[in-house]
This record gives sequence, structure tokens and C-alpha cells, in this order.
Amino acid sequence: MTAQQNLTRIVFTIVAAVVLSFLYVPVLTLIILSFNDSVGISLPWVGFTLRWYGEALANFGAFNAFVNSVKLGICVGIISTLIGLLTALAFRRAIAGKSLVLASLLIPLLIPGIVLAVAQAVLWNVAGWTMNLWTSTLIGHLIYTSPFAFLTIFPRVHRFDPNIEAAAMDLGALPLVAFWTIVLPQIAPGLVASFLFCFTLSFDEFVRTLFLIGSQNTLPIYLWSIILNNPSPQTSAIAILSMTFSLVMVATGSMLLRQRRLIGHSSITEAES
Amino acid sequence: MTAVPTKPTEQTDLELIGVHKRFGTKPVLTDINVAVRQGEFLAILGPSGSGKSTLLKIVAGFERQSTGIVTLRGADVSDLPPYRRNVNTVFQSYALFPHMSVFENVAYGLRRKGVKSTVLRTRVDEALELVNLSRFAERAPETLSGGEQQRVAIARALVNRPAVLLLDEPLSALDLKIRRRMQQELKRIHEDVGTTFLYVTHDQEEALVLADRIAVMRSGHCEQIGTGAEIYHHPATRFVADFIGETNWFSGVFDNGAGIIMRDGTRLRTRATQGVANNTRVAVGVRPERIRIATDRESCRPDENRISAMINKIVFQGSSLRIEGRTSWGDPIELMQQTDRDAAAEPGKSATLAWDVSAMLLFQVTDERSAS
Repeated sequence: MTAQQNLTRIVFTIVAAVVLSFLYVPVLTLIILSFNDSVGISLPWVGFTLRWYGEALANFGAFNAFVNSVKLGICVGIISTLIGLLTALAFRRAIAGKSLVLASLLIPLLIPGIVLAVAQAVLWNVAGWTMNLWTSTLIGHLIYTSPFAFLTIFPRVHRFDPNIEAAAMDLGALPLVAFWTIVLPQIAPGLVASFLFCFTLSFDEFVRTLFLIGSQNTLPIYLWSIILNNPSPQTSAIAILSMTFSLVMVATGSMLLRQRRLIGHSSITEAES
Repeated sequence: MTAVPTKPTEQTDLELIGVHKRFGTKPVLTDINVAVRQGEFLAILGPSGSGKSTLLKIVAGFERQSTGIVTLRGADVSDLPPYRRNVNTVFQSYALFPHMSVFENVAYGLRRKGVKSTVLRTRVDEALELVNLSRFAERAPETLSGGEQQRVAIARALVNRPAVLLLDEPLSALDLKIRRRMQQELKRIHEDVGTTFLYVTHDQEEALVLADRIAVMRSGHCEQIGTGAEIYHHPATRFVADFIGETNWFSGVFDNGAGIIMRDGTRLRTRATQGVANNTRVAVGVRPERIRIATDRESCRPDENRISAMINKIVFQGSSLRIEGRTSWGDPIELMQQTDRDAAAEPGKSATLAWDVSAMLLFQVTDERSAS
């Protein structure tokens, strides 16, 4: 019995270790090599240095691409969250052609990114429009992220008891006031989650951006171009910095969400004592 | 059957005149005429699907009637949205604002009206005191029990001093013991504030305990409006008789001269003959507690019906006995008797059952309401 349990335990530990290393060894390798004082992203280990990070932070091209990515990510996050919110709100009512709207909203999830990106690039060419960050790229990203925004927000909106909103109007609140004071605070965590999710998707997006960016750069495009032309440990440093930024964003977001809940709880415990 | 509207007076707080509601082509409410007097506790009683909740939504302003008029204190409010009507609702699911304290929940309506903060505090405190929840003012709603949450919902509605308080099955989510206590609580609150209450329920006992008058609904029609006693003793339709209290039903043929003739030839005397045509099939109803066991020694009074029945079963229920049997014409019959009386019946033996002619309920059998 105990022997069998031990065996199970060992097997589980091995499987977990294999899965975890599968997930994280490549990233760890990259992190280690970004501190290597050698001209290529490769072994042997020459010595520890922070030089590549210094160069990465001083690299104007990288910084410019990073700023573009952040600005684009924020816009994509806000706009797709709005689209997701409005769609989710509309879906609370019985609307004509509901399933058709839902299908047309979610089908982009099933079409390979490269297909949609090429299709959009072709459209831009045919129409004779110039591709850049704030037109073609922004729209391409929105097509990609909006379904995720909807899928993040809809469950929260759906779970919200419509009687609570009705109660607000019953107590004299105009529909917009009822939404602002009652509905919004209830679904806010879903909106924050949607924003972070869409921001991260946009920040990391490569394939669509490649086809739709025109002459500008986002961070993934910049990284790709220097890897093609002039790979150095600075590339890994930029990659690590970008990854750290994404992680900090997500961590901050989830901490914000948790803190809101904690504030709610502490006021309850205060009242009880 | 159309209910006769109460004559509207200056004291009428809420009146529905000829209200119809259709969802698509499906009629949900048909010709509803109700006048609720000031300070009255009116229960809308009906099974699910009878349209009673739709009626409440129309009064609250969440649904618009297809035709007809809704007036509040004499003014037509048919086209006003919920936030412009001087009525407040207590929802079945409580519908408290989960991110606000109990105090802020109750204050919500006053804040929307821009009531000054000093006045607001006083009125919210008063409302919380009314429902005995002052000590919970700073708590979050989710930390309260179901009954307490329901009281918050009542305070949140009453603090606005509505012309009519609408209650949509407010106790149905509570368990039986708390429900009983909340009934008393509701009755006390109603007496304290004197506000007109419109109370929707499917629970006939609740309606009888709480309401001054009851409107019985059935598939979109108002079958009868009256006090609990009126509805219990003089039901306007067989549905009302069945819905409130228990009734023994027998079928027979009405004969103008001879009374009601049952299948085996037994004749029953009756007084209530209005609206019943000669030589038609009728349903005869008698409440179980109106039937008694007659001894052979006493002679039959002229205002009494006597039948013989086979007793099958006597169930001891504490203060009363439930006696089950079968009439001479084969229908099951049930009666209630006080335990302290000498039971002149034994299972397996025949007994003489008697009831007063005034206890008879008589309805003509039509196709849609055929005897079960």
C-alpha cells in the first residue's frame, strides 16, 4: 500500500519535472546566455556580464519599438474591452440573429492568423491604403483580440442578476446611472482581466504584425529583424526584458484584482469586531 | 369570469383598468381590473404562469401593458419608466447591491433623489430600525442571512416612501420556520408604516395570513377579489375553491325541484342555485371541516344533507382527526373532526355523514372545467 503510494508519488514527480522543464528550460537557457560575456548567443560560458542589458536599454531602435508596442497594446486593450463589453451587454437581451452574431465574432479564433493577416494585407493593397501601426496593425490586432475580450467579459455579465440592475432603476436611477453605479463595479474585474489579456496578446503578436506593420516596428518585429541580421546576447537581453514587462503587467493586474477583494473583506471584518 | 372593480374612491392608491398584456400573440393578462385602497394589503394569489408576476412588473414599469390604464394616486402612469414611478419593489431574489454596505443599499434611492446627507442619514437609520437591522448598517449584504437580506430589501424600498410597495414572492426563498417569522414581521411593518402593499404569492396560506384582500389569478384572468373569508366561504369559481383550502367534489345532475341527484339516486338539498340551469351536470363541493358524523338517534334537519358513507381510514393528526371514506355513490370523501369529540365512526363500517346546506358549493360543469 505504502510502496504503491510511494511509486505513484515518484511517477507524478517525474512527470511534473519533465513537463516543467519542457516549459521553462528554453527560457532559462535564454536568461543564462543573456548574462554571458560572449559575442554570440551560445556557449561556452565566458564570464558574467550585465553589458548586454546596458546595451539593450541604450538601444534607441529597441526602445522605439517597445514604446510602439506598449502604445498599441494599450489601445488594443481598451478598444477590444469596449467591443467585448458592448457585445456582452447586447447578448443579455434576446436579440435577432444572436447565434449568427456570436459565430461571426468567434470564427476569427479558428482562422489561422496568417490567413487573416494576408487577407487584410491584400485588402489594403487593393484599396491602395498605406499600412502602418495605427490603421492596419491596430485593426488586425483588434480582429484577433476582440473575441478573447468577449469571452473574458461575457461570463461575468451573464452571471450578473438582471434584477439587481432593475432594482437600481426601481429606486430611481436612470438606466445610465444604474449601469455606472451598479453594473460597472460588479463587472470591473472582468474588464481589467480583459484589458490585460488583450494587451498581452497584442504586445506579443508577431505574424499579423509582420504583414500589417508597414515601415514601423513593434518589439517582436524589431527582435525578429535583429535576429536575422545581427544576433548577439543583446537580443536575448531585449527578449528577457520584454518578457519581464509582460509578466509584471499580468502580476500587477491580478494583484489589483485580489486587493479589491481584500478591501471588501477587511471592511466586513472591521464591522464585525 | 371578470372581477367587478371596486368603486374607486379618493383613497385608491393604485388602480388597474382593463389591463391586457400579450407577449406576441400569447395573452398573458386578460382584462384585469383591480383597485387597491390606501393602506391596504392586497395579495395577488395564483399558480405559476397565472400572470401574477407580469402584473407586478406592469405596475413597477418594467413591462408595458398592451392595452388598459394603470393609475397611481389618481394619475395615469402607464407610460412612465420604473425610475419615474412612485412605487418600489422587493424582489424575490432580494437583488441587493453586493458591493455596497447595508447602509448604502438603503440609501441608494435617496441618493438618486439628491436628498441632503443629514436627512438621508436620519431616514436610512429609521428604515433600518423599522426592520430591526440598525446594527448591521456597515455590513456587506452577503454576510447576512436570507431573512436579514430580505429585510434590507424591504427597508431599501420603504425608505423612499412609495405610494405602493410591490413584493414579488418575497418569502419563497426562505425556509418554512423563517418564512413564518417573516410573515409576522411583514404584517407588523405594514401596520407600522401604513403603506399600501401589493403582494404576489403562490402560497394560499401566506395570502390568507397576510392580506386584507386577495385577488385570485388563473391563466391571466382575475377569478375573484375579496377578503380571505369571502374567498374561502364563497368561491366564485371551482378553481378558486380548489386553490384555497381543500374541498370534496362530487358530480351530479341538478334538478330544479329535487335538488342534486347523484349517480346512485341520492338527493342532496341545495340553496345556491344561481346560474345553474335545470337538468345539467354540476360539481358539488363541501369543505372537509363542514362535514360531521351524525348519530342515528338525531333526526335529519331540513337544512341539512345526510348521506351514508363507508369509512376506510381514520388518521390521528393531533388536535384533529382526518376521516377518509367513500360515499354511497362511490366518490371518495374526507372530513375533519376535533379529536375530543367521540368518533362515531370506525374503519370498515358505514356511517351517516351530515353537512349544512349552506356549506354546499355548486358549480355548473362545463367542458373546460369538467369534474376530475
